[in-house]
This record gives sequence, structure tokens and C-alpha cells, in this order.
Amino acid sequence: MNNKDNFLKGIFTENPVFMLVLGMCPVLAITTSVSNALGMGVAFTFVLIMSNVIISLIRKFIPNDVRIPAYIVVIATVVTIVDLFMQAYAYSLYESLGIFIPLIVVNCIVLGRAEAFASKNGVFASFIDALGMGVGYTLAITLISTVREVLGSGTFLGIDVFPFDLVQPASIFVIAPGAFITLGILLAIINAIRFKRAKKAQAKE
Amino acid sequence: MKKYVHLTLVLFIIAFLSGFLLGVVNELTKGPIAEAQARKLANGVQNIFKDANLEALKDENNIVKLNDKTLLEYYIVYNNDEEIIGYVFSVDGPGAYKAIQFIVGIDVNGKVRGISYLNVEETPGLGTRVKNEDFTNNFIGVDDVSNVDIISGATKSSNAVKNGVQRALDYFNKNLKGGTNNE
Repeated sequence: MNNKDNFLKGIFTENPVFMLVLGMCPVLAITTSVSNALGMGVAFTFVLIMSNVIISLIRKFIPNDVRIPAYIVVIATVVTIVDLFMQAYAYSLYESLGIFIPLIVVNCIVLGRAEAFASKNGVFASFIDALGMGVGYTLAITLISTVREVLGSGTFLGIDVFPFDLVQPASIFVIAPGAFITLGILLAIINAIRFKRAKKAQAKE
Repeated sequence: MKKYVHLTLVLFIIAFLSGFLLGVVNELTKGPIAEAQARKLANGVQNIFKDANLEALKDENNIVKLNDKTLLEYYIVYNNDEEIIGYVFSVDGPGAYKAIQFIVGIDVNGKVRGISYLNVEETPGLGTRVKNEDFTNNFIGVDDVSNVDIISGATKSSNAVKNGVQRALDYFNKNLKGGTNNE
């Protein structure tokens, strides 16, 4: 697989949110505003890249029997570093993301990439894989949070998109049920497009 | 047996290195984290008391810890002429899920000067409405919160703030009124 495909698979065919549907808890919880989603996306991408690169570097040194605890220690270390730096230099973002930064440790996407990719591939390929997955994750949660923030708060990145109160925002989109409804509808749309394309490809053959 | 020694050793090395790394990062970020927290408090105090001397706020003699779950501590606020202009109470009000952390300023006459939030993790769009000025402005100038209306749909969140303010006022009236206790 070349680098381009390796990068793009994280965004399209193996998008962690829309295709693999992994790690849904933070996806549902922090997508209340676009700024939250972007902050979470950057933190998540950084953790993914660091853990993939480190694990790929030491993959030959780790015996198979203890690989999971070894991965978890590496991931937890990277996450704690991100947590501390965020607290020091981006305090308001740290407060709004709250518990979900430390919880990246147990996010199955990170462990999943370590187990499925970094433990079997070279450093550069693992880096590209993590970058693609991170960008795919960030785009996905940004899309969800855009829908939720525009419909739920009537703003985009804090800027009022419905001036003069033309439309009353529906706060259900900001709270938990709105997260499920938004995710469900987006998944349905994406699957519909995917099936249509698969059918077309079949008809061609 | 040899295998287990190997496994243990590998895990030990990984854990040791990560522990060391975290120690370094912790040393690096300790200062900036404390600063970020202090800055947030200072901004809050300045919103309440425009003429507050923020340097004096950092002085440990001006921070009084209270042995209470809701009323955590208070700060004696001085102006630039070194006169006491009021007190700022740090409050953890029991919100719908987590504590609503805020500070409430009370001037020397026992009137509320304002509220500033430090950390609110209530339901977005419902409980977070306690931050609206429509709500917080109701507290300004009162010495008794019983006439302040709570927000419908955010009963627990607004009650947490309302009760917290009353607790601070009660403490002030009992211990600080007259302002001589601290001299």
C-alpha cells in the first residue's frame, strides 16, 4: 500500500468514526461545539501519532505476551503529557474538554491502531497511518459538531449564524439525545451514498 | 523462568522511562498551570471589583481557607490605597452533575457586587444558562437572595448558585461584618 492510500484510508474507507464506528463516547460527548471538536481532534491526532510512532519504534523489543500493557503505558504517558501541556497553555480548552482528554487512554481507536498497524509496520508508515486516522477523526467530529452547534446553539465557532433571531435554535441538538440523532442521520446518509456507489460499481462490471 | 524475567524486565523498562518522562513534563508545566489557574481567579475578581489590587490577592495572608464543602475560602480584596473594599468567596455549589465553581464578591457593606464563574459543567443550553447576565445581574446589590428568581428548566443549577451566594452572605454577616476581625 502506498503512502497516499495509507493516509486516505483513515479519512474515507476506514474512517474511525463513520466507518469503523469506534470510540463513540467522546464523539457523542464533546461535539457540542466546533471549537471543542477541533481541540479534541488536535489532541487526539497528536496522541495517535506519538503512540503509533513510539510503538512502531519499540515493536521488536516488546515480547508478544506483554504487548497490550506495554502499549497502554506508552499511550497513557503520551496522553498525560498532552493533558499537562493543555492545562498549562490552553486552560479554557482544557476545562471544556474535561475528562475526555484523560479518557483518550482507553479510546479503542488509539489502541486499535497500535495493535492493528504500528505493531506490524515501520515508523514512517505508522506515522502516516496515525495522521490519516487523526485527520479522519477530526473531520468526522467537526462535521457532527457543526450540525449540532448550528442547529442547537445557532452559532458556528461561537459566531451567530442566524442574525436577528430568525430561527430559534433547538437546544435538543446540544444535549445527549441530539448527539445520537445527529450521528444516526449522518451515518445513514454516508451509508446510503456508499451503497449507491457500490451498486453502480457492480452494474459496471 | 527466563521468559518471565524477560517480560518483567521489558515492562519495567517501559514503565521506568515513561515515569521519568512524566516527571520531567510535570516539572515543566507545574508553574504555567498554577499561573493559568491564578490568572483565571484574578480575572474573575477584577470583573467583580474593578479597582481591586490584584497583587495583594496573591498574598497568602489575604486568603482564608474555610473548613466547608461549599464555601471553600475567601479572599480579602484591597484597592490600590490598601483599603479593604470587599471579600471574594470561592464557592463550589452542587450543580446537576458536578460542582459549579464560582466566586462571589461581597463589598464591605454586605451587598453582593457580582458573580464570576470558574468552572461550569452543567447541561449545555439548560444548566449553563446560570451564566447569563439576566440571571447573574439579579444578585448585584442584594444582601438577601430570597427575592432572586431561579431559572425554569435549570432549577438545580440556579439553586446551587443562589444557595452558594446566600452561604457567603451568611458567613459575611456572622464573621466579617464591620471588617474589624482581620485587623
